[in-house]
Amino acid sequence: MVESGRWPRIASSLIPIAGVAAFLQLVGPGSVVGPVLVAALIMVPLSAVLIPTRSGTVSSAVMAVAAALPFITTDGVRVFTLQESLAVIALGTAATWILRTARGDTTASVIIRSLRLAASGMAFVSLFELIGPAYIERLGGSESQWIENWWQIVTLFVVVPASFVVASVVTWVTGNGNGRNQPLEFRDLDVYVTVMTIGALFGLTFDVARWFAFVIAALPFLFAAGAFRRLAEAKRTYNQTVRALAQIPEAAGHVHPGHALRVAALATSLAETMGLDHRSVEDVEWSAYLHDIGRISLNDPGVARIGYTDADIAEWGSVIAEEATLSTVAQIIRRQHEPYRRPGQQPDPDLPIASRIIKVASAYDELTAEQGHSPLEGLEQLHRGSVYDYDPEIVNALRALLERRNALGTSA
Amino acid sequence: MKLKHRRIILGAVSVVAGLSVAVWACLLDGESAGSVLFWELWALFALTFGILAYKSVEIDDRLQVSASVMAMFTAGLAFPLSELTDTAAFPMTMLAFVGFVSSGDISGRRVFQMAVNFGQIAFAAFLAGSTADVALSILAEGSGALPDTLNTWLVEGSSAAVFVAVLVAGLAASIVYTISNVAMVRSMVLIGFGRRSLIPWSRTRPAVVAQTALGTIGAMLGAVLAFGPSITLAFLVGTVYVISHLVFTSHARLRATQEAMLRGFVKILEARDLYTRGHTERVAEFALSIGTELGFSSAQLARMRLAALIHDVGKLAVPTPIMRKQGSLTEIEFREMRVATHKVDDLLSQVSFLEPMVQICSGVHPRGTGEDFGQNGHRHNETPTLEQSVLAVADAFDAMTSTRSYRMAMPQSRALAQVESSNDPLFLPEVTAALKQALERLGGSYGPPESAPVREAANRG
Repeated sequence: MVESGRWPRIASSLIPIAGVAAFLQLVGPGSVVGPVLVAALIMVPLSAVLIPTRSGTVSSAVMAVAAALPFITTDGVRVFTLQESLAVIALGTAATWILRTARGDTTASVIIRSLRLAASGMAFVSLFELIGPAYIERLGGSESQWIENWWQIVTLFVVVPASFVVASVVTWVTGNGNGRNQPLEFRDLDVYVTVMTIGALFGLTFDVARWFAFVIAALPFLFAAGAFRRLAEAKRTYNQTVRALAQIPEAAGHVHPGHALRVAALATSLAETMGLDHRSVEDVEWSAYLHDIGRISLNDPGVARIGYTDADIAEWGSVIAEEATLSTVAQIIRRQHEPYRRPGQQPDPDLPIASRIIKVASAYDELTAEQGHSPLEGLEQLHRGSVYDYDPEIVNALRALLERRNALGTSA
Repeated sequence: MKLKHRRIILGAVSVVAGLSVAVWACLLDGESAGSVLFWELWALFALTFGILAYKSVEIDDRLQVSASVMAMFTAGLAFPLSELTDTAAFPMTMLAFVGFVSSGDISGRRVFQMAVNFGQIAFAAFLAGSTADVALSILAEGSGALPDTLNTWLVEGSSAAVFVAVLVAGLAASIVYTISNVAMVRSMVLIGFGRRSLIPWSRTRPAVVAQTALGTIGAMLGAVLAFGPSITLAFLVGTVYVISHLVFTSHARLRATQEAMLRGFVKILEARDLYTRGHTERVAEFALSIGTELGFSSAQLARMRLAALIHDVGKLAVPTPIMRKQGSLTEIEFREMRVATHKVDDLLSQVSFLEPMVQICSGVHPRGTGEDFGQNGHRHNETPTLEQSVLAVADAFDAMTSTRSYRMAMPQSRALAQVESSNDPLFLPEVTAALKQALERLGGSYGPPESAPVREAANRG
């Protein structure tokens, strides 16, 4: 949905303007001048400052303005009322909407980002007002008392995660512009908290430092943003290295070409389908990449002469990951060949679920990509093997995954 | 034995120096040093600083950075600006009493490192604090305020002027802190562990940049706290510390995982041939020494190191009989080996970041296991890049100076002469010269530095 012409863009820019006009009519802050306009305009350049998050998406710095609004005071008097704060966020959202459209972003992504920003920003300022000053006033205290109160911190503790949840829910419902609906990504909370902290820091320093507060807030912000960016880059590098190294057994001709990458993709999807947390999914991914790495040792003629079992290959492979930081991966690789249950015994509860997932994914890939079975035939074979070898729960997850991808054909 | 005695003396000297600096800082500060009025503030900062220093992380090779620098500079600026103390040197030096313990030193019972760290941190903190004091008083005087009443300046002066002053003073103090820290670590490693242990300390730029930035940010936060002290502000400042710490930690963890993975591959590779054990690590160390001698940047050195670590990984795809063969390979075997290593090179060069490294390696590879150096022609006739040459020289030098299945190790001097006189186009003259210099600088000994103890003598702050 890439916009090419100029007119659709201009037309789409009219939407936020109309929306803001209607909104201001409805909420009606005293006047939309001075501080409100300035604060709204600050949001526009901030929307260009993007920070990569752990889940791979990016987060912009716009929410810092929302976080600053309730804290900004001049000579001890708060500048923004709730209505004015809402107006700032509405105006700022509209302005970034127009900027993004002019820059040529797709309409879908502009709408999603704007919705996310408006919803989480407004949730933040409203909840903050509700739990903070308003609550204190209801208790009989005054607003100025509240400023010096522990209650401020408690409020932050509640409101920052709450507005994050609102932002996540919006992304979840609308998708993130590339057609994938992601669940709540709590590992992205660190970037969000960073942005909000720096915003609040700006708000609190504004009274004494005035516009120099920008410098005070910008220093730690740029440092943190740079660190997050470097982290994302290092992660990408690491990912690529493991992928490349995982294909060495294929280069040596011991494994069917592409096996490692396909198994890793399938095992990761299976782990996600089964609802594993992101850390376990990551473990599954790394172990799946490396699950056949032990076959490197097949280069040794001694090995070929004496013979070997799947257990040997698993054991050799786990040597790769023996160091302490990778012990989970080593354990997963070591036990990947084990049947989930032996005759006459209960399933071993210590057998990592990741090992069981990799066993299923690897077998399915061998059946379909190497032996030429159709997905349905492959799945049937796994079902047949699920008395001892393959964990039925994982085979069922595989069926669900394949059905969702319409891979099983009409007979399924 | 000699080095051990030196270490004991050095540790004792360091502790005494640290203590005397601390006493001096107390005396400088006059009567307010005895004040126990704000003990809870002191305790809060000591606790924050101590925890962050205890949890310091290794961000780059053997260099440790921790968010505790921020806390130190926050205290250093917040205390004098809010008139809790007279000088910045006093609170900063005092924090050294809690900053010298790190989890690694305690679990490893490394008394020497802790003793040295204490003196080093106290001294660097004192220098940095004094720098901040001098800078602040000059700037305050310049703006017309009385030099000894920073607080009046804060209250009555223009806030922008004060913040600019704090920015300048904080930056100057962090630069002094970082540079004196690195200088002290270098000289102490030199005295306590010998010259060749110094290699890792030649690449300090990433840590210097990070620490300077952290110090300056910490100083600004200190000024903010002095201006409008509030619980919320303190909480936000604490959050900034925690976030910085978390980012460092995840970076360090990622790096450690990647290193561990590569080491695993190298281990499998070397397990196939007993004679090449340790070869990869040694080549990496040689390449780094040569690169340092040639004035490579830290990014270049990091790339060099990774290139050295992966330079033989292609052999994993080579059938073992060919790898273990003694003497020259036949034409067919040689081709087989080249096909296998090229396949792996192709795999690795798909990785955008590894591509330059594969290019470094690819000029070196066809010489095979390094045994028949100087005989197998390499496929490039054009001049190799500097990095390719460094790797080739390091590889050949280590191959010659270590024992192989069919010959004993060559003495270092003969190997060096052979590398110098070789007409192999891969051995650029400036690289062989750098190798010679590096060997001389290492004091005639060679091999990887004893990395385990040195790693822990890290500069924390």
